[in-house]
Amino acid sequence: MLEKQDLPLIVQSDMTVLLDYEHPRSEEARKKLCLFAELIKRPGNWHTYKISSLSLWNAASTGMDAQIIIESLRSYARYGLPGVMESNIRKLMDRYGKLRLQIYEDKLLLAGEEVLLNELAAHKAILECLGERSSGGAWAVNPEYRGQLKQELIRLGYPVLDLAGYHTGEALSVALRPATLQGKPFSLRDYQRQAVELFYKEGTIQGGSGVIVLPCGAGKTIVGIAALARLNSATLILTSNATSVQQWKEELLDKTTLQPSEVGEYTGASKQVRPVTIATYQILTHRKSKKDSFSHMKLFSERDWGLIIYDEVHLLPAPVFRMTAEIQATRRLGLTATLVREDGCEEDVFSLIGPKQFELQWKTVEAEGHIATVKCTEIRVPLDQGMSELYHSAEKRSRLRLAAENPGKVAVVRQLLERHNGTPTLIIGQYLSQLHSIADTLKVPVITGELPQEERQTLYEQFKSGEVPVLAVSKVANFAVDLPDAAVAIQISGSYGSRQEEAQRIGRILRPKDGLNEAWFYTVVSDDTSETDYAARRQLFLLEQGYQYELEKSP
Amino acid sequence: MFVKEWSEKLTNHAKQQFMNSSFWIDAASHGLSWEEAVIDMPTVKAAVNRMDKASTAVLRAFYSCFGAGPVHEERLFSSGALRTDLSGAEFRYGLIQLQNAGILFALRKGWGERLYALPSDCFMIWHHILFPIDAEPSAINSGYGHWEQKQEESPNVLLGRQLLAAWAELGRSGLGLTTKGTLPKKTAAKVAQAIGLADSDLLQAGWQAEPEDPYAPVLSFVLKLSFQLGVLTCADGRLKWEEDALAAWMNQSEASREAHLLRWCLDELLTKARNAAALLIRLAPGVWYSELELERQLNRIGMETDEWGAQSNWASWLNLLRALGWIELAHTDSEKLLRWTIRPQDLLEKQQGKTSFEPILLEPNGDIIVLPGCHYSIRWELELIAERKSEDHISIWKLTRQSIGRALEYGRTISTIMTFLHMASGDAPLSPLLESSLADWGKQGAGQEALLVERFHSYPPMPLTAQSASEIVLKSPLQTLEHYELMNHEDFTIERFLPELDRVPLSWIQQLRSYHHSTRLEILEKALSWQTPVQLSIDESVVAFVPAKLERLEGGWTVTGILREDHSYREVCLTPEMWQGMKLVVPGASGFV
Repeated sequence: MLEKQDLPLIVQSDMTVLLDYEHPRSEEARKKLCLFAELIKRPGNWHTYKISSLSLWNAASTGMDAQIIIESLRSYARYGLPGVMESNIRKLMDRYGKLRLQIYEDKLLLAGEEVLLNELAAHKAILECLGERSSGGAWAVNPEYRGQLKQELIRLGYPVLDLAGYHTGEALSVALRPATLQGKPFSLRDYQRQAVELFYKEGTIQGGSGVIVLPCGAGKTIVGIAALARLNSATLILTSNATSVQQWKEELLDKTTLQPSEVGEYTGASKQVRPVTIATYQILTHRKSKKDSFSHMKLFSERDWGLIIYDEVHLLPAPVFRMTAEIQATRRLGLTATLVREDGCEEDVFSLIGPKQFELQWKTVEAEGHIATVKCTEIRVPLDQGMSELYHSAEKRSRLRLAAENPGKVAVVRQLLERHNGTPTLIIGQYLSQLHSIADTLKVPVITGELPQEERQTLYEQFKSGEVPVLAVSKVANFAVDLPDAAVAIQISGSYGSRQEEAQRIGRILRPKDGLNEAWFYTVVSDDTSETDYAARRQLFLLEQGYQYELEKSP
Repeated sequence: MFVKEWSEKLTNHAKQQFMNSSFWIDAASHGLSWEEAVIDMPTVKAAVNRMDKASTAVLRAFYSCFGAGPVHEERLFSSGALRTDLSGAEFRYGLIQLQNAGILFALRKGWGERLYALPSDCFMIWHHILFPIDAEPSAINSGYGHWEQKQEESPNVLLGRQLLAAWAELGRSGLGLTTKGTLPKKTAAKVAQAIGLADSDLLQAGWQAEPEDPYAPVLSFVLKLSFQLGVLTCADGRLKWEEDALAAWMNQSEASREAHLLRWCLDELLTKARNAAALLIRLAPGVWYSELELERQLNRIGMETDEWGAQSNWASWLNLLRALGWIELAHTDSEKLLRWTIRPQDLLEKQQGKTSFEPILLEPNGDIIVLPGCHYSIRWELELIAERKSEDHISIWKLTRQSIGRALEYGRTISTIMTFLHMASGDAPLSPLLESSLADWGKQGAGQEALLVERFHSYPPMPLTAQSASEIVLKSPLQTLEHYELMNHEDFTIERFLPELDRVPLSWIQQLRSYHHSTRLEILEKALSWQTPVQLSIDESVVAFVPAKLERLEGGWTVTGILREDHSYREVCLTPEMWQGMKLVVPGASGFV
């Protein structure tokens, strides 16, 4: 073995890097590492980062070069750098900037090294996007193919510097308020301001498209609103569901000079197209049948948008990507808590929305007090004898539901409500019958998909005001509800091992709290059943983000 | 054979006599035994400094042409002597000196066949002293030039870890043999699959299994190595772990273990490229070198370039070292590059017993992070109770319901697993969730008692403490020499190889005198038959001359041979009146060599 150096990083051949968080030099190493590697997990004292082509090109877009990255790794690597890692970093970084999309004499051109251009033009998918070749060797590109070309090139492993610029779009006078409508002082946090500036880049062609990565509760919406106010142009905001549309609207009106007449909702229920329009991905991708076209995609061209904001960009559906490929001259801002997509379309995000412009780690935000410190606890409740017999005699597929709906959970929830008496609490469940039953027993209101939107809003308001201290909610609460000031979440059942759901649910209680800034997340599961396995799987994501779970056993 | 194996063949008397050689004065003064002296780098260096010119030349020639041997005597004198400037008698003299010091050995193979060899584990150490090099690292180390490493150029995991994985698979699959005395096909396939090394890596490098070996090359290789490490034996129709040897093997530091394995593999696999291998292991670890630079070094130290010249072989050998986890390869547009991932010099140095090991790190999500310095007994147990997720500098295992279920079937209990995890992690606390999961998983059935016991022996837990392990004994892969008779070095004296020495007038070998032309001819004839030089005084200077051919001419004669002058040797043809005085040189007995 090569001699071990007393340093905090272990660099692996598979492009992962492990950071020993207990090492005295871990923080300085971490600061350098996160500039060119993505944090994958941090379950304990060893944090796993991954260096990928995208993480490197994201770094390149900020001005880093291969030598800086290699030297950074080498100066902290306990066992040196595997050759394959160094070779890959050089190879991939060398590709960044080799190809440029630029405007010359009003024409969109793909420019770069002649040998490379020749090599790439040999691919049919690339050739389709290209027009004539200029005398300088650059290829003319039909502006309609700007996005498609970027997508195809990145699939071949070549990122393109898009320097073709943007059109300004319809002007819109908008500014951030110094105090909210409710009279609370309002200003951007330092990291939010930094994120916006890195996106805007003084309005140059180097800025104007990219992704901001902020953890749940860190104010992604505020960053989006600030970007809108910075650009002063008509903006289309795309988000994941109707509740989120409402939340965006409220925040826009609360924190900017925009008037209600300037903010439109484009959802199943309403089709307003205004200078600032908020739509759902669902409505954009809605069509009567598979053979029909996506009629609502026309929204992209219904106004001269100067900015499109993609909220929860990790959920962006494929048809919206296709549409986005066609509007590359419009500024685009992606907002997300994670760049990791379940469908592996990270490359499309990079090429069509843009490189990562800013990222802040979950635990960093927590340490700075911008989100609450959450204590996670799993509570195990035994099945009583009758239920246990029923459980063991049931078919395998029925068992989970039996375990999930264990009536013994009610007593635990009651105890928890007593423990946190006076603290706004959400009881979150998967099964409506269970939710209704528990709500009846404990006398708390229930919000499910069955409840009309207006009634939901009323309950949210009552919860916000403290009039209703406890709400039972179904999975409608998973996405972007952002219930204010919930400090306790009690999860009584959930989807089979869904890590995404666990993260969404904990997100409901992350907003900073007065006082000790604490929140509590409880998962109640039936002991000695398969539910504990599913719970363990659900917890993986948060464990890997650095959260710790305590275990309590109910007698 | 390694020093230890030679030592077993030698008498104590012989070993004591070796230490009386003038070469070992420094070693003897430090009270070193022969076994210690011949593999101790500083002592070897002192010995080489004390050697006479003939001994050094013979030894260098032996190394250059035949590696550690064995070589037939005829070939040694025909090919080896040509590599020196020595006459035949001088070469013999040097050889005898080396035999008397226990550096080279003569062996009898059958009737009349004589072979010479040296302990193969000495080879790399002595090579280091005999052939100093100054290999220049590649410029890419300083960030200059464009280079690339393809996937197939990156190294496998270390051989030690590959072996452990194979043994773990063997333990899990069972040690029983078929009626034909071989592993069941399924087991054989699984064990072979557990190894990163591929059949092609071995075959392309010219490795051959024993004739009629029933297994795939990789498995044959692993089993041969396992038997020679002494960790596996075969008895009563099944394989059996030799737990003391296994514990000793696991108890070594990773560096020491890989050094042992490297030594064994160089003996087993690189017999035809020993010099190249010896040069390779002297390269600085973690530094890129160009193959062209190595070629330059080989040429510089006058090595046979045949072994290098066989490009395809060379590439295959380097690939094999890569597949064994010890080097990584890369390339630029114009040259190939290589770099050690271990410290090959560990092979040359005495390994200090390292007893501190890195604890495992238990993560709350069930991941177990294993650092390079982790004790192999821990890795062994993890191979049973957890699933290996990745193997690199750091290896990651994961505790799962399935892996714990398997461990229960092999006689572990949740209690023993918990105890193991506590010990292996240096008493780090388990996360409550993990502890609870383990308790849950422990409720799975373990199977029948009898099967449990059998499986337990098939996969025994190994001790974590250093004290319980005995010393590792590694046998050389080249066992053929064991069957040859080791000849007594005392039977080799220079006089034996100079017939009728006692009948030669003493003045011929003691004084530089002027003789009649007919006596000059007689002396030269004797020199020719002994293959020894003569000393000639020519015009007030004294030179050595090695006669090669006498020719009688009408009215006289001429002698052709090599004239040794201060800085050059040249072939000359002399007539008797061309020198004044002369003397017959008996190497080691008279005059100079």
